[in-house]
Amino acid sequence: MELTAPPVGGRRPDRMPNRSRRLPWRRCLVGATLALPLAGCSDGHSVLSAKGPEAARVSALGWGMIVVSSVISAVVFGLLAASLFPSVRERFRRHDETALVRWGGVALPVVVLLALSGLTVAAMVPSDDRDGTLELTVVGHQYWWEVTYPGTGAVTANEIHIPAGRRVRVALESPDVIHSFWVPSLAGKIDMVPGRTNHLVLEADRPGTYRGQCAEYCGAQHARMAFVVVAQEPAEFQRWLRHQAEPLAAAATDRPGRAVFERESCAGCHTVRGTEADGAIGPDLTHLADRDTIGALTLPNDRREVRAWVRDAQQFKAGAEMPPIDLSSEDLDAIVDYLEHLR
Amino acid sequence: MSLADGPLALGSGGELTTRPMGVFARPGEAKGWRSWVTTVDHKRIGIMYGAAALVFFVIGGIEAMLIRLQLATPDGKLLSADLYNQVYTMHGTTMIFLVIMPLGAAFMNYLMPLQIGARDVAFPRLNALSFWVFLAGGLVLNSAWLLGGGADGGWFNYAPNNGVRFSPTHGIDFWNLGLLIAGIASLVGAVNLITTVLNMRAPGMTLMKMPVFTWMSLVVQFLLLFAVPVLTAAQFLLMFDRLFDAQFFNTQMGADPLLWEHLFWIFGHPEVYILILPTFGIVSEVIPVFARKPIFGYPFMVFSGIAIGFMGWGVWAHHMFASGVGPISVAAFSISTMFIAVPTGVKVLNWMATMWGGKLTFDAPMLYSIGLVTMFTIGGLSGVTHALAPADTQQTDTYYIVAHFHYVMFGGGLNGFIAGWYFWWPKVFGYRLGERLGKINFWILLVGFNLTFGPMHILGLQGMPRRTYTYRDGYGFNFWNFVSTVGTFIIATSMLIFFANIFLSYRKAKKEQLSVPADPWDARSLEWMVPSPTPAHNFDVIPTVSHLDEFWHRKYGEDEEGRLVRIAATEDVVQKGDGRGVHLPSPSYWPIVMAFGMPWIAYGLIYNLWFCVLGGICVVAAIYGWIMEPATDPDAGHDDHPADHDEPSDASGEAVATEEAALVD
Repeated sequence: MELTAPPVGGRRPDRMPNRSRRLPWRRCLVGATLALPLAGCSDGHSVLSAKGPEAARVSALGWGMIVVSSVISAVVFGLLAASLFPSVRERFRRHDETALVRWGGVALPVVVLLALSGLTVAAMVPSDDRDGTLELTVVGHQYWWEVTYPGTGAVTANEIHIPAGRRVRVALESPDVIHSFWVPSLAGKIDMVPGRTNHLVLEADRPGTYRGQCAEYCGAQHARMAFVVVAQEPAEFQRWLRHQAEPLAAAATDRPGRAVFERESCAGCHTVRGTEADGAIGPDLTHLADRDTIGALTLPNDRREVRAWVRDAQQFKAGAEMPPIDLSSEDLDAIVDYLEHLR
Repeated sequence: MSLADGPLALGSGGELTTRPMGVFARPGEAKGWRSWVTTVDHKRIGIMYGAAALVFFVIGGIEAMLIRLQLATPDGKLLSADLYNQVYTMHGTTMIFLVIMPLGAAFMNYLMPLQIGARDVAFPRLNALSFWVFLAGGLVLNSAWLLGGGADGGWFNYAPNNGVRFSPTHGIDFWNLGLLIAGIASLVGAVNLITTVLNMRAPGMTLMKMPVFTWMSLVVQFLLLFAVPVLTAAQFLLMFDRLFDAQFFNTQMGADPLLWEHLFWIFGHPEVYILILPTFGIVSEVIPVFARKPIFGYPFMVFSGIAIGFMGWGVWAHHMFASGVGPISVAAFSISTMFIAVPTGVKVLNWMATMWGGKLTFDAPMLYSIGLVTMFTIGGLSGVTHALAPADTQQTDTYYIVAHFHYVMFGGGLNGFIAGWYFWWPKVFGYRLGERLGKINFWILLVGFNLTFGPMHILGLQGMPRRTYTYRDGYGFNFWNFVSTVGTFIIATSMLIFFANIFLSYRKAKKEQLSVPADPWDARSLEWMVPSPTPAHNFDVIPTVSHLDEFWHRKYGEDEEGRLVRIAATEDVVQKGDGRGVHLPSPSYWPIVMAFGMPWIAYGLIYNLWFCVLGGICVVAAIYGWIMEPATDPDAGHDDHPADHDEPSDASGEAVATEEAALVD
């Protein structure tokens, strides 16, 4: 079962390389050291390609440290290799080994580490809180993401839309176990701890789709708990947000599947705003048809996959909350048709 | 003793002195399996620790290979999500608690008394208890596989995912109770070995004349003594939560899951040094021997070990940088974590300075030691990269971390233990492991190791989270995952070569009647002064120590110009192993009886509390029997060893020839 929707790979014109202009050596380093398997691939989901200021701040520190570590390793291995060759060794033999330990083992590390401490603390200071910061809430559930935009009534799942170029302050919560919210190319991760609210700032320089994934082991389907951040032009984002805040689409109100949906167990877990379906266990489906995937990026959101998912989600995501639903073929078709009209 | 004056005669009092329990005779076998289950000899206990650890290593290794086979290709179908989670949890738990920790215990048990010139540990029966309790814990943990499936919460098993609500099977109960039992073993062992080092050193061996391995063992035992109770406390809370609804970690009742994280890592970080310091000790013994030069900067070595021991307590929250602890905590733990690199770096430079200017030979133990120094350097430096808290938010819980701790635990830990195996094998078993196979073994292992774990750095930076049972095509994860899986098979091959080497070398030694001298490597510390394999009583005569590297100084001295000259032939310095009248602690049934009761208590807590009563009776009976039994059997006499021998060689004017090993229990 292949995922065809958001996975990345440079299909979208809006995802051309951008930030790397700032630090060209990075790209060279990646190219030189990690070679082919790394270079062509994971633009949308990688620590190595920062696509926003938060990630860039961390990335500079991370890369700096990798360079420092590599240099130190090289020196250590060089010294070690030299000690294996008597001729080389003898040449430096007169040097006092105590000096080696004193300067190389104590003084140098202390200086390097003090510098790193300073950089670390500097990197921890939050960047300025500009006006107009957008706030949204993401709740991690086993194994999907509930996304709400406070004050707007918009609720969605597994797709977080944000305006590009703006700081977005994300409140992170969990009602069940610890999850961790991570969009590698936009920011470092932070855990979603039950009973607490943690915060994280997301900012994408440009419109694009950035993949995220749960990073703290959270149960059977931890691996299938992914999401995407879709950064849009601000105007486009506002249109999207207004649409998401609306209740059930008119086109869907008289679909025959609606009755089946409300009669069968679906409505017990899922909400479709503006109808009797007001379950609070699974994702809000009011605008399901707008989303590219279902099951937290488990399957593409198309007719065949949705039908299979509704019938038995467990075969794709064993351990998820959604039980197999025993429906006649006609009812199943009706539900899928209804879901397709939830625009 | 006839039946008539056996049990019935108890009341008369006459027999009490020699047969305290009246009914049970003390075990007396010197050979056969019964001698092993009742032994209190630190050497046999060390060997059993090692053997058990190797069995668990095979189990943990099979689990590792299952993990890698599942991840070899995207959307792997070998394991279900649930089974994968059990396998990776059990892999980590097994390798940490049942392989590396007991391997450390194996080396310490065997070597530490020899290195300090003692005849046994301070409490020989407690030592046996440690081993059997450890084994009981390991078996309880792994019996989960036969009783419904292993734990599925990861080795750090965060709350609330470890509660009954999210993990309703018994897997985590087995994990919890198994480790609680194994924790008793660690504590008992710690008390025992600390007492041994502090009280039983040979005359003249001041603390600063102890070999580095013994020093590192001492530091590790102190870490165990203080760290294990923290884990035990956390696991106790979890046990009450899971079995008796105590609600310590129930977030719906207002619990804070960070409590578990803190408790676990307050144990968990010192644990890292518990795992690595023994092998630091091992290579500190190996490198000087193969560089023919004393360890460089011995006091640096000792104090950096102690410094690591202390600083290891102040860094635990670096495992929690992403959990939302406050910025001051993050900054403080970030800086303290960076600075623990200083004493560690001192050690690396000391090893290199030892090699510089030494006359190096590259036998297998030396190769593995160099392997440790290099691989640990990589692992240590990648550790510094996630000491930088902001950078860590991109690295933690990804394969970058998996790469890091395998470079430390496998590249640093296991390499060191293999160095130790090749180095001390002749001393322990009386035959040498094949040198050629040893070298082949090393190079294959080095390649396999780097192929397996090197690519994980890249995978982590590409954004692959750890503990995921599968990944999708299209994120660039495919290639390096496949490489890593190939590497695992290379590691497996090298381990098969190691096991083959044991077998082939043994067969060769037996067929050709080979024996090894007391000192095959021209080594430095006291354990090489006794014959190989070590006789039951260790030293014919307890040596009086006047130098660090005492044994070396008995062989070599310096001429007027400071050049190394031999002052005595090795054969004249080593002991013959024919000491007489040495009074050794007597074997006992009670340690294994007590350990036998513990799994019953564990199973009772899980299935039916009546089993606990049985287990409890067993444990209490064993304690009672233990108390009633003198540490040394008055009947056993002094005739364990041949008495038809002249006075032991006394070249350097040692004291008393037939002193009793001062053993208390």
